[in-house]
Amino acid sequence: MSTIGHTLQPLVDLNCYLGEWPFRRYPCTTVDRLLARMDTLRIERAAVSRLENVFLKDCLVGNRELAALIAPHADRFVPFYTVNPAFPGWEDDLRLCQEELGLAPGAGGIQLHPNYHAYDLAGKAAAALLQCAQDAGLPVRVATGLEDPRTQHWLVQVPPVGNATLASAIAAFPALRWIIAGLSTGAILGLWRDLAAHRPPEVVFDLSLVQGPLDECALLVESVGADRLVFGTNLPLTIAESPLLALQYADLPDAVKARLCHDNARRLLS
Amino acid sequence: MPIIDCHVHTWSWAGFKPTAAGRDHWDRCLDWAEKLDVTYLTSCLRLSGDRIDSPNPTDLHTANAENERIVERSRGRALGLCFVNPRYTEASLAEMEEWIGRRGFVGLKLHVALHCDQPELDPLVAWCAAHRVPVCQHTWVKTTGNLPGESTPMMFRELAQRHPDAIMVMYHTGGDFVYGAKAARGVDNIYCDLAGTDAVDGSVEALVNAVGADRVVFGSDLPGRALTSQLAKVLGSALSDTDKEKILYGNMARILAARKDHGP
Repeated sequence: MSTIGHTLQPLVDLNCYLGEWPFRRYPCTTVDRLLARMDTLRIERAAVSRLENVFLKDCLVGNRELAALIAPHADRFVPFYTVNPAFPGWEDDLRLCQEELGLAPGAGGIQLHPNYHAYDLAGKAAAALLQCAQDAGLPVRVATGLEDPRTQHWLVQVPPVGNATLASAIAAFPALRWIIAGLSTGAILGLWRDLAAHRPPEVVFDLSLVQGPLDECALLVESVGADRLVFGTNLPLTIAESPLLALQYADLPDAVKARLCHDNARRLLS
Repeated sequence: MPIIDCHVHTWSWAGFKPTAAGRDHWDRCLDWAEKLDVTYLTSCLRLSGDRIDSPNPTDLHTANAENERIVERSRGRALGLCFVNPRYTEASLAEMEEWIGRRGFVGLKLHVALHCDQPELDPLVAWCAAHRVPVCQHTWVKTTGNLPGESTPMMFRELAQRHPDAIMVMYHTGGDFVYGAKAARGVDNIYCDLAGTDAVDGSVEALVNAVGADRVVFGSDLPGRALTSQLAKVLGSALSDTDKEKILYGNMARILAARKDHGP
């Protein structure tokens, strides 16, 4: 078995977090460790969000922390600032992200956690935020799930964002650049079927939790197309080598792998 | 580096469609085995596509015969595990005599028919201890709730402690290696299988820290999981190359070599 990833082209990670998780200790939670891991795996840039914002009520606190942490490494990280449209003042907080933290088209995006923040992505509050993002030309990344629901903490059981909700929200904002993160192969195929009548030009799925079945990358390319798939790690929660090995050993032409490794992500982040 | 994958199923995932050339999902599993130099330990838990949680004796025999057909077409890349149901002691022992004793299967597979701490398992495990073949028992501990007969790591620990001479492989290690490691710790005849869970960063290192690299074995849960995502747990870990080799090959090779009357 050849060295992991070294037969691949440089990677852009479109689903990454920085910070601690309350229920487990993970090895790669600091900027230095994340950068070292990225260097080892030839990940040139990562679209990163503050992991603590999954549980912080005031996401602006976590967003400011993120901005400070990644400021010395602007060439390696693209911030995705978390916004909770069910929390008071999100409009002002989003404006502060733009004015203070530099959030702008080509310089980051918006991170959503509809399940952990307990709102309906297809509901009225989310629609107001999605409209703002669409008007501002900002990509939106939806974390559909972060860990296997079967192994969640017994006091914090959070089901994944359902395909019907995702399909409804995506169809309502077809001009938005959508990054749908953390779906399994089966969920991507199901959502793709649900979107048959309304497939926006810029919706992509990340590969971080596509961990089966056999030949999953080839199956997804055949089903949803090579322009709809992007490399993502779900670090620090998930082993980055999982999607990396899947791409390395996928029976796909190099030109197709290049789109999954970096071309599609660069387009989404531009 | 050769790899032994101790946790593979013969059923086809719904997305697999036989090709025009007649190649089916198992041909693709074999392609991967050859690509990555893997030997599979296989079990058959489904008949006509349906999972058989509590198979009757006829189901068991049909499933084991199906598994033998898979093994025979695998060009030396697969070894069979005998599937039994402890609710049918005599029928299960008869299956074990036939498939392990006479037809070359290399271990026992127990699934979700009965909690594994129940006394019905004792004669089956004692038979395996006497023949020096591993007992591979499905375990999970789900926050969302286990199946009615689905065993937890703590149930498995109790069974392993009752049979200290048996080689006990805790399939899935409870689905949560932090939990499974605590259950396996201090019971030296338990081996922890890595199969069929998300690739959680740092989880294999934590497991090895708890039980030692000599008691962790690689499994994938193919074809529902991809070999790559499961191999990433080991290859992407911070373990030494020596420990990785033990987990991917050495530990299970040693277990298989211990089989009575079979040798290495």
